[in-house]
Amino acid sequence: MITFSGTYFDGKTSIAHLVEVRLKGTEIRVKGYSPKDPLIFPEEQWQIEPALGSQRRTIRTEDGGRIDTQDYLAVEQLEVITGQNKGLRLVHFLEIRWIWAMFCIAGLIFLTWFGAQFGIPYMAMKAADAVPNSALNQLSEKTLNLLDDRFLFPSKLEEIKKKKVQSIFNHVIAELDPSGDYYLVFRSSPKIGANAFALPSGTIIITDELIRLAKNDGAISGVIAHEACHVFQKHGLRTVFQNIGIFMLISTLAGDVVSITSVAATLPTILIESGYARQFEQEADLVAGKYLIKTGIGTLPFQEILSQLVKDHRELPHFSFFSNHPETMQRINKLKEIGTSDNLHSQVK
Amino acid sequence: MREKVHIILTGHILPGYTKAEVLSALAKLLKRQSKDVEFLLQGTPNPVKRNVDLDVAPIYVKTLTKAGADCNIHQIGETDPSGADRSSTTSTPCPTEHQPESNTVRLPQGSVDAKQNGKAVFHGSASEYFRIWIVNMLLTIITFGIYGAWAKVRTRRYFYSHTLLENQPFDYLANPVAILKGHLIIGTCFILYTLGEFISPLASLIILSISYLILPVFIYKSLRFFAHNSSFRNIRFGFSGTLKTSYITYLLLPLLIPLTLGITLPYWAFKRKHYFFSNISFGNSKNVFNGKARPFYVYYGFITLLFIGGMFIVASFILLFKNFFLQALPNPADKAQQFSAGFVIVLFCLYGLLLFFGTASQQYLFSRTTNYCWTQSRFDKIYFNSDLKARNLVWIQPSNILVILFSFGFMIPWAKVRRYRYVLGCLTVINSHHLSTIIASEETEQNAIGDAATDFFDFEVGL
Ligand SMILES: [Zn+2]
Repeated sequence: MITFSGTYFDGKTSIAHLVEVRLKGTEIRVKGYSPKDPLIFPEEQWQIEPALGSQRRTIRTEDGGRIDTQDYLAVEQLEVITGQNKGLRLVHFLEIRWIWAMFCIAGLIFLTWFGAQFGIPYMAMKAADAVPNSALNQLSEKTLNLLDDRFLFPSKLEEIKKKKVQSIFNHVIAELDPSGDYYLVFRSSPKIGANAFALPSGTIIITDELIRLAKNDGAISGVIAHEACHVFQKHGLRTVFQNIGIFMLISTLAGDVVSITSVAATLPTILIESGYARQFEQEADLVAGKYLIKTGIGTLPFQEILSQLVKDHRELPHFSFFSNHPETMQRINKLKEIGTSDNLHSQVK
Repeated sequence: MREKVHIILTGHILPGYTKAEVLSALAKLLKRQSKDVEFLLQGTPNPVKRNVDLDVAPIYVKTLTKAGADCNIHQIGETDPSGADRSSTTSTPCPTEHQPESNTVRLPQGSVDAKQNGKAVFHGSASEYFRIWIVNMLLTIITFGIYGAWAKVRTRRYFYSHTLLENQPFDYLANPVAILKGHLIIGTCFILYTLGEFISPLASLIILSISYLILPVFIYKSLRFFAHNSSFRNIRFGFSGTLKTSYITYLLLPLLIPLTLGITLPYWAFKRKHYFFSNISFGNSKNVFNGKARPFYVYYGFITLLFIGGMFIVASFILLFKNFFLQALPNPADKAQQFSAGFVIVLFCLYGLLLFFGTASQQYLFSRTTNYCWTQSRFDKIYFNSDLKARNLVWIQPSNILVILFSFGFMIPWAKVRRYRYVLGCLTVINSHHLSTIIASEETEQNAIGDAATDFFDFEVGL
């Protein structure tokens, strides 16, 4: 038989009553509240609050009463007998031991790293695949309208030049993603300058400035291959989903005191997001580089146009061909690597 | 334990003083309005300070005598003169009223120094909370956020149940499943908003304005949920504010601020506090809140003057070193757009200064408005004093942020406990023995959606 003393609050007044609690079978008897008979609560009428820290233990009764006690041992025995709070008893077991806290720190660091590196990108890919094509088309149309309103103007390019670029475009698409639905759009943009964008539906926008900047067809096919990769790898949508995921992860981790750590929490978010963007750019450059090597053009024209773009760089919207200014040198070096690597050469040949 | 006494006002005025004089002096001493201390001078004895060390009691007597109020020292153990007064004014006198106090003293945990009476004390520790926090985090990540609702309840319960007032803990009773539902709804809204942003600016604008329109509902719901699920001595708190007032406070008034060029900003700050403080109740006793908007204008005015002064200093500083800045500015003809090191350092300093000023003024406003609102609150016979010092908070908050940054977030629990301990330690509950005479009001279940919403909108109810 388990007996312990505690303080009883009936829930109707704030008076504390010193009581003695006794477990008989599975019912508890509370002595000391009413002068005559003990209060009797059968098993289904009382509930033990899960343990937490060093707080005193609490039993709630169905009629709104509450018994507080510091007899931890007795309440633990009660929990074992009645089988209450199985899950949270385990949580409490972890919470009160430093050794488990250490394991939790290690686990947390590992899971955060794993989630940001693999988990979130994987789930973002699945989510992007689940978006229907009709939604993509609608969305891209709206984005194009928006860009037209703000940054883009009708192309002033001569028809001959347009035809030539279109035929390069057709070649690239036929090679990289023949089953895909792609569409080339010419625009001029003094505001943005030389650049190219890919919309998720397969619409690729090239500015007149970029075509004029390109010294040869190889540069243009490199740019188009790069953009086409963004389309068939769904980089745009994946970026959106990944950024949602990262925001959720970081705000879960910092969520406790968002108000004082919001500044601190944005920094890792930005770092991880730009890391994702860099990955996608590298992937697209790799596809473009492989394509150029395969067709015998080589990566040199593409490297040239990248370094020309550094000089021409201006303010940019999202998902543009050229977005990470300081990283362009790195991108060019990577292309050089691809171009000189015999291994890759023989592979694509 | 040293000998403790109560300081009792006899309710009479000393010869040579007028009633108005004594009232205003008492009001000043007790940090209260004259009409709130009137009951102290109506000829019946009232305790003004309980459980004072015997050796400091004469200081109180001297101060009160100087103010013109007759008073005496009351030995603990004598028949309590305030006892008669208590049962005559409480609508339902409780015959067992003195029992809990004597009972608590006999309990092993009851051997707390009587000095702490009337003060809420936090008995948790940063290291204990750290372990709870880290387990919460891990389980939340593993369960893709589902455990977050349980984590939240455990965190709140930890802070509540380790906060003892008159040796009794507070309690947080929210059902995690209700909070989980709220989290799911808010999460869905957030995903919709982000997707809307991607689809078209119009869609995100519509979602944003809809959420702005329903924000007052969220706040109203969350305050009800928060109050209803907080309890002390197994008596729940309650919130009786209306949805209409919430719309006025959180939708109409903010819209007026730009129209009036910011003049109504202090009024808005006041109305937000007013919405909380004038509607909160403990059991069947509702808070009587006497706050006025005027002090808020004083606090905000002070910050505005400080800001103007600061701008003036910075502007004159820049003018003084004009040449230096002109040299440091980037050359527009230079394509590489390299800033000179000096310019970057100056910008960095200005940014740091601005950040510090922002935090400092935030803490100043928090401490002043919180102190004011507590002193203007009264639950039946229980009233409060809060003496938060802006300078202490200005030290605590930025140093907390730095510690969190340099510990990669692992010191968050420590920082949280540190600030909580300070804010709580500044609050005194006067006449806290009356807490044992409260009667519950009838209960209704609350919806948890609003509670989660407050987290996302970072709405602060303030202690
Ligand atoms: Zn790209």
